[in-house]
Amino acid sequence: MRYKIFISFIIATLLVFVAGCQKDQDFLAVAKSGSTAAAGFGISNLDGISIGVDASVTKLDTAVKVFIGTTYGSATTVSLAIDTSIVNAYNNDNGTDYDYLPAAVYTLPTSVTIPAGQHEGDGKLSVDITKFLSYGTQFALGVAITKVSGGPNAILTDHSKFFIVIQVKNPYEADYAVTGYLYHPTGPRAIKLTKHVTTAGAATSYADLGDLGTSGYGFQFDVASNNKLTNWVGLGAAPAAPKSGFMALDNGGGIDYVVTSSGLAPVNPGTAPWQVSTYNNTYDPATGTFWMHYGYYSAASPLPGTGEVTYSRLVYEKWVKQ
Amino acid sequence: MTFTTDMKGCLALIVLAGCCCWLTGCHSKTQTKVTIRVRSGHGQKIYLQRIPVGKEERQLLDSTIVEDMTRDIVFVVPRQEQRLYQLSFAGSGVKFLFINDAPELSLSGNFITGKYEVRGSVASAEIKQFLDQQKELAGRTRVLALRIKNAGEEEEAGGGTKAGAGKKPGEALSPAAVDSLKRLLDSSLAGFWKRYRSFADTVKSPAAFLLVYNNIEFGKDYDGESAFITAAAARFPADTSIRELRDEVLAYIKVMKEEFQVGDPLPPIVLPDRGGREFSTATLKGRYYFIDFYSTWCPQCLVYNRAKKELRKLFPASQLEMVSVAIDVERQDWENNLRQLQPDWPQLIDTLMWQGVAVRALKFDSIPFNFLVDPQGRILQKAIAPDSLTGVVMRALGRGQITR
Repeated sequence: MRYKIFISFIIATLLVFVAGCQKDQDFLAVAKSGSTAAAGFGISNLDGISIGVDASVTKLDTAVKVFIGTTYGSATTVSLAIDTSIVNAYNNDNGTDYDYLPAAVYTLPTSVTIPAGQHEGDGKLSVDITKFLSYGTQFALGVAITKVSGGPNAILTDHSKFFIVIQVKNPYEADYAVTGYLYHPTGPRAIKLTKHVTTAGAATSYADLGDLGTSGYGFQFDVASNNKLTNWVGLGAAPAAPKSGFMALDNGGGIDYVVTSSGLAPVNPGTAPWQVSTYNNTYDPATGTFWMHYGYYSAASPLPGTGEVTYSRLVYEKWVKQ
Repeated sequence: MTFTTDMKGCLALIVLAGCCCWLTGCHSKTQTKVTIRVRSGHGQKIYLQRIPVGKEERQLLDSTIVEDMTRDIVFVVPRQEQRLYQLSFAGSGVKFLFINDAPELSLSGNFITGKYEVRGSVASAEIKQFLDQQKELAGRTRVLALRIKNAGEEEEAGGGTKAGAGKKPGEALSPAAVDSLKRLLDSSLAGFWKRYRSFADTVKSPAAFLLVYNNIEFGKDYDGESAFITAAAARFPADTSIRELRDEVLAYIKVMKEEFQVGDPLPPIVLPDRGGREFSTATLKGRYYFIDFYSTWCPQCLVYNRAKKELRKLFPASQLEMVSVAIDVERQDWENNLRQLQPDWPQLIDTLMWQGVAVRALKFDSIPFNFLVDPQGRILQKAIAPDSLTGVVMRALGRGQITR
């Protein structure tokens, strides 16, 4: 008997072990929400949807789906209403500052029907992008289920709120293949990575500084009408101007960056290929390419002065839109 | 002793269970299981990358799509060496960071806000907290910088009453107040940078150290830098990347700090000539020789071409050997340049440039550079300017001034 108990224990242990492995293996499986006799949105109240819209798009249609876990012989009507308190609560909980999506730019049905015998009903949020006045501003919309009738007559409370954030992207927002060089007194290195340029305004964008995005270094810049890059603003952990900025000189501080720690063999800034004449802080709209030369100051920079003559970290980068 | 069928079965299961436990143990020692939950990220594609160190390239290790925001995503990364990993989202600047310092860790984040938390990893939590603090401090310095800038614009505009002409009014501050703000900004920035070094000096994770090292600068304080990097390598003896970094930094310091003086013996170097044959300057012992270092991309170096040719005319090889070393990565550029110049003395190339034997062995840190060496191998002169080259060599070799 004791053997049988022991064997059962061992088998149970092994089953737990094997079951644990299987759980890892199927982590991508889709969990179906709404398994109860109540209607709700496909996402929980804790979640939202974020959509970045290309400036070339004139109209955005987004599905607003509602579900019920069991089917009914008659259609179920799910009533919807705009609820600004959802946006307020999201802003409060997450430290965000989203504006309400203006009523004039969208249409949303007041109810969505789940056909008889079906689990799902499709509503549509239509947004007229041409009426957006501001690039970069993130607008939010909160939609609540106010009533369910004809079917379960019950609201799945955890899935009763729908939150969506919409932002119109400027023409520069995209992923870019970035190659270049970062001059650092003891750690100069080649740069080869993908950067994402994020919209901050019609002509204002944000991106990581050099390969220091993981350190929280970023900057904002404008593309002027003549495609020159201007208005540098260091963000994140990056120093502010004039301790950082676009550079008009190759090596204003005249610092020797003579030995690499990366095994590469750079020349000092200003010798080919790292020359501001090429990396001239411009945008080429024909190819979607940025040519950049910028830098920043750190406290131990050897030379006195202001602006780029104090910079000891210099970056030359070419960003090619992907 | 005889085994019943039940006993044999039991033993087999015990052995199997033991193997499973052993394998599980190994797994936890060699891998980190990373459990991720992303709120508001439905349909987003996530990439897992290892952040490169030194010569490494950025590696994409895995990717997946957030199908269900209420369920966990699991990635597994190696754990032999502590490294920084990044989870990024396609078409977005949102990224979550972690360090693989535990058998299991979990990340929970929000795709819309970009905020995230790491649990189960001391190193990840530590570096995240530090970087968040640095961002906050940098934000404060930006406010100061903006106040100074606005005050300057206010002054340029002639005071508060005139600032409104299409420009946002700045803060009316006295010059003394602006100076005070500037001092505050400088001290805030100094504190900001100092925190990187303090953190690097105390952090227990080598991956966190390597991330923060990027932001530490020593300027000309080579002794301080040497002590810092040596101590770091001693603190993380098992970390190959930090050992390599130490070696590179110490080599850099050696070059920057030391240089040969007149009277010092100049060590020999061996480099390939135009035919690819190795040429050793040791073969020049017993003779005077002039060795110079230049590059085809260096305009200041080209100024020497005429002076060197003149030197060759004045001194045949029997009296003065000449050797030119190109610090050039492209052999073709070097060959093209030599075809134009047509020198009749040995031409060598160091394609490793600033990492090469010439720079490392002879400790010069800029080009053009040169040495005039006596038959005993000692330096007679160094860094001779082009317009005084022939005169200096004449005097050194005891031939007095040239009359031309």
